[in-house]
Amino acid sequence: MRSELPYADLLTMIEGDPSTTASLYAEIGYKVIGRVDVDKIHNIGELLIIPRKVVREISLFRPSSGFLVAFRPSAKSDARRAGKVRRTSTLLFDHNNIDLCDEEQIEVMRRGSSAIEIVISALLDNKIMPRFLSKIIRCVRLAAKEGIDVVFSSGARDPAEIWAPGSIRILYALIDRQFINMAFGWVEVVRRWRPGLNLY
Amino acid sequence: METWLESILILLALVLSITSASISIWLYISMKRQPPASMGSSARYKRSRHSKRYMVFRIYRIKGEINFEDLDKCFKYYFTEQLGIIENAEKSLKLIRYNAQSGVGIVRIVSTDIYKTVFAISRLRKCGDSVIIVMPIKITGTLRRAIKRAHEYDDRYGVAQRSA
Repeated sequence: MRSELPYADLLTMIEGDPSTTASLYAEIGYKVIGRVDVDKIHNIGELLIIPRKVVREISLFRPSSGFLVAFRPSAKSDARRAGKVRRTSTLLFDHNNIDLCDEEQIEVMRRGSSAIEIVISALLDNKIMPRFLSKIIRCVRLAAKEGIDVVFSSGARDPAEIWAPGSIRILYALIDRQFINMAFGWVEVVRRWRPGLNLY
Repeated sequence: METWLESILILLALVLSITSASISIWLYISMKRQPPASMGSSARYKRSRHSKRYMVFRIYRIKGEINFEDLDKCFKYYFTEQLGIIENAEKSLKLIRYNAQSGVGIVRIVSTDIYKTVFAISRLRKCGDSVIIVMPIKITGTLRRAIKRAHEYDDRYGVAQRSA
């Protein structure tokens, strides 16, 4: 489950000392993380920190080169609008809005430049997991069919909510054995967002 | 009876016996190939095979320490809880080795769906009083290769891990 390619957790919300979080992620095997509380790309040790912004209002959604913007849609119309955007951003789905990831959404996103970002912290909840997992499987299969990038992010607010890189690969393999290397799909997203960024 | 008539009758009997033998052999082979009627209704029916794999993993301890017995219990509990297989938990999942200092271990999985089992184990966060993250490192087909990989990781993480 280890590979030459680096692993990334593009959305983490662990509060506190950034260097403690960075050392935790580095220890687990990540090379890149995305944080909402930073405003520029920088390194802590060998870990690359990417600035993220999570937007919940479509009126505030402006993909930028300064932040890798994630839009979390709560209505179908907003999700469709955001899916058409040509500049690189991600559409954030969690257990509350994963239903929005359907055939129509994928069809809309096929023409845009957005990627799908799924926050998987809810998979640790026994009550939510079965239904959420089946929705994730459906969404990822649809996206993969149309060549849309899918990124799993932990969305961790606590160190215990972090998923190990090997577990992320297993999750892709669980969806389909052929998808095991989609764990590196984030590279394409970050390269589109910021071409020339040294990721290795 | 005439000799020529006798030889014709013998030949006819021979042909008949060969034909009947070949028909019965053909019937036997074709029946063996076809699944039973209950299974035949689904053209896609495929018997799932149990496969045996060894997973090398590392435990990242966020809080507290964990020993071999507790980890084995937690793995089995999570496995039965997630996959709903109670009878075969002992046979399907076995913690073979766990180094408490480095946190590296090997677990044997006998299952029809290896990934489902590994995913179930990956979700383990609380084991007794400890808070841990299970990090799957490598899935191998033989124990020898798993041990070799585990030794590599033992050397790398041999120093007692600091808690976060």
